[in-house]
Amino acid sequence: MQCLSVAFGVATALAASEGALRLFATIQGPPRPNVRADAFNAPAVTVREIDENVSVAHYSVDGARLTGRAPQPDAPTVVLLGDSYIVAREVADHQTMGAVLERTAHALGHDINVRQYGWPGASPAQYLVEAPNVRARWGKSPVIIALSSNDFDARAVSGQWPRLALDNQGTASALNDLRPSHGGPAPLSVLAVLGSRQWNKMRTRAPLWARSKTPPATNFDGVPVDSTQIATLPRGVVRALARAYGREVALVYLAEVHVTDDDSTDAVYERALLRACRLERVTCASTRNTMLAARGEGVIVRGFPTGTLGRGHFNPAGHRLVAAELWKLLNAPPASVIAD
Amino acid sequence: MSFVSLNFAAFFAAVLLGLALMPTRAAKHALLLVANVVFYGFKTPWFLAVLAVPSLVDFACALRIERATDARERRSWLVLSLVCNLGILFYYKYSNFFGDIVATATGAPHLLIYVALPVGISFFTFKTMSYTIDVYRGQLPACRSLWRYAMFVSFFPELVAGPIVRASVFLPQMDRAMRLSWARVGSGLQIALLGLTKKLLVADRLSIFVDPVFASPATYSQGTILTAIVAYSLQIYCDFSGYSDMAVGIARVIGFDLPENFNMPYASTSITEFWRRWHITLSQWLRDYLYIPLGGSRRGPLRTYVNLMLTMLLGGLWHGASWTFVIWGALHGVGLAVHKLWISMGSDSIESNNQWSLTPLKSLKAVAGWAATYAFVCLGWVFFRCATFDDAALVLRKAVGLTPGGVSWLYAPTFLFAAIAAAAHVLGSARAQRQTADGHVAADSYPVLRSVGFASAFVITAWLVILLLFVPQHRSPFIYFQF
Repeated sequence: MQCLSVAFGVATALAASEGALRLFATIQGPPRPNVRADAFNAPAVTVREIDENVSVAHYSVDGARLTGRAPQPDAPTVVLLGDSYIVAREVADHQTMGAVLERTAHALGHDINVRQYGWPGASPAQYLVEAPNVRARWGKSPVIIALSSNDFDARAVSGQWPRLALDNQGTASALNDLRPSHGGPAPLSVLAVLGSRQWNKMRTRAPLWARSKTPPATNFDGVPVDSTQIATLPRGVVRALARAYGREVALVYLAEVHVTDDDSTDAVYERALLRACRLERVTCASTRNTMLAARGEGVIVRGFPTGTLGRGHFNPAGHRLVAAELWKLLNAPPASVIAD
Repeated sequence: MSFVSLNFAAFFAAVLLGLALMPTRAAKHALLLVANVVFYGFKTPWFLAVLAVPSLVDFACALRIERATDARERRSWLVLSLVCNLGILFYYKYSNFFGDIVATATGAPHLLIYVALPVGISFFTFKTMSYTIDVYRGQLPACRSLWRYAMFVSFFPELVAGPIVRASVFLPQMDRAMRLSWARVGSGLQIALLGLTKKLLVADRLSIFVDPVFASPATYSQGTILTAIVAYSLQIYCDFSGYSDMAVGIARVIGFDLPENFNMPYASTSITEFWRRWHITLSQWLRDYLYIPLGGSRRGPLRTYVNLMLTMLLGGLWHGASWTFVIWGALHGVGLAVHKLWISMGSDSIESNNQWSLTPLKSLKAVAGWAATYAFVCLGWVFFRCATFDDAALVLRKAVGLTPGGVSWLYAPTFLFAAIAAAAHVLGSARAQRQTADGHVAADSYPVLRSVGFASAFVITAWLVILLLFVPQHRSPFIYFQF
């Protein structure tokens, strides 16, 4: 009898925890974008999170990050592509950079619709893969791609699929994982989702005997990645994106500006990208100087009240500053490089 | 080995299994002694030598003190013991600090000694010193078994960060039957879980905010600095009392009762009361082995204030070889002296002045006393936390608004934890008054669920879920490990 009451107590606590957590977090994350199928009138999906901030975000069923504003029927569309910065789970719909961009344009008498597609952890290979879909769905609409430091380091060629490969001419192309997918069954509870997320964070800190063996990073074609290849990535990426999307594509570099200590390698990647843009005559901007100026006035673009200020994804102030850069990009003459 | 590690979880599980399998008490003691050695020497085996040398000297000195009939001989053995203990402590902890003072005063070059500070050296030095002093005073018979004495000195739950257990409390417990009982295991694990929660969920999460703000105070705004000072007061409380809770809980599971080290310190309405509630075993040690031998309050008011200052200055220096700790100790010495003066001028005794009351005037006095005490303690924490006097001065200038501007960062968990801590202090302070006078853990000292059933299973499961899901990835070492 005592065992039964203990078991019932444990089960009730787990059920109560599950119920309480569902108020703040959803089992399913944001849907993965299916750009070709996306439509303005597609049903919306609600995603709540308590990982980095306590927030509620909405997506179309085909994965577009919604801006919280009804689409303007005759307004042109701007397509924004990127990784988790564009997924933007941590902020409300109206705080996303796309939403701010729409409001900025509207305030200046130019209505636009911003369609935001983000793939968490994506490298430029993902944007190359998506180019035909974006062009098929959104025609000649302006496309802005948000890039950051992890798009130009070893992760781009050895991390998440699709990965980048460079040919002899230094042009990047996308490699897809041709092995059969072995994703597990969809989780059934928030408890399991948050638990596995926590475990993934913690296991790197576990002692050696308790650490699961992680397979070595797979390099494309089995060839080890060398620093020469990494150094040529920015130009190869810019060239490939320009070929895939046309010269109308614009790139924005999302700089790592923290509260005090800035990442010096981030500035190296930024300079390499801007140089590549000049050489390839692609419109480009970096957010660094705007963010540094904002920091001088006490505005920090990353981090939330529940986490470390200056670290992690953009907070609403960060989205506002990036949106300002996006507006400059949209209005810049072709092949401009905005770095100040 | 840190309590907050999978290594320790595996180690403790093995110890428990071993204790369950060992047939006799002697075998269990032998197993625990081996466990103590493994625990302390796990990362740096040579630390064991630093632990062993004063232990052997004190063991021998105590026997000699007991056998000696001549007072001078007894005193000689005591002096030998104290010189050995304090010499080792001085070498490892203070040689660079005092070397720097001498070099600055004389202009001679300062020769730095590059040596790692053995973890917990301040704790086990005080523990072994109290043993020989107690034997010298005739308050304790000398321990005749080296193994029992080694077990007392190296007892792993409290070895590296207290509570500072006296031999008179520990050694008699070795004569008890060491059977694992569900009652002890259940309550011990709950107390350890409470400590783990304080450490992982509160202290480590607050360090996400406190560390960067104190590392670069000039960057942040006045509101952020003030919030960080409050956050640090919570962090250090949850970090240190969390460790103490884990030590008490783990020891209870094994079969030993350790004295409680904290008793709702932030509910104190005077600085004197604060020191009766904060790091109780250190306060009692300083009282019994320093303040009272100096004369305590028996030699007039002026000498009392001097004794308080000396005691707290040395208490500050015990924490670390740095001027900021000396200033922290001096601040508390001044605070205690001023409070004693205040009490001597009024009709209230310390005890009656410290009670929360339902009468309006007394309540007002209590609230004013609480606010002044908490603000004073926080002022002290600024010196305790900052690495240099200049840093502390900058933090204080920022806090009072003399250096305006800076980034505003109001870290939300600080407010949540402050509210929880306030509620826990209000609810717990009444309960804590039932604590036994000798400082032992009373049977109902911790809010422990005693019956096994639906309610306890529900609470423990929900508690574990919260703990596991919301533990931050960021992990900081126990603050008191450095002492």
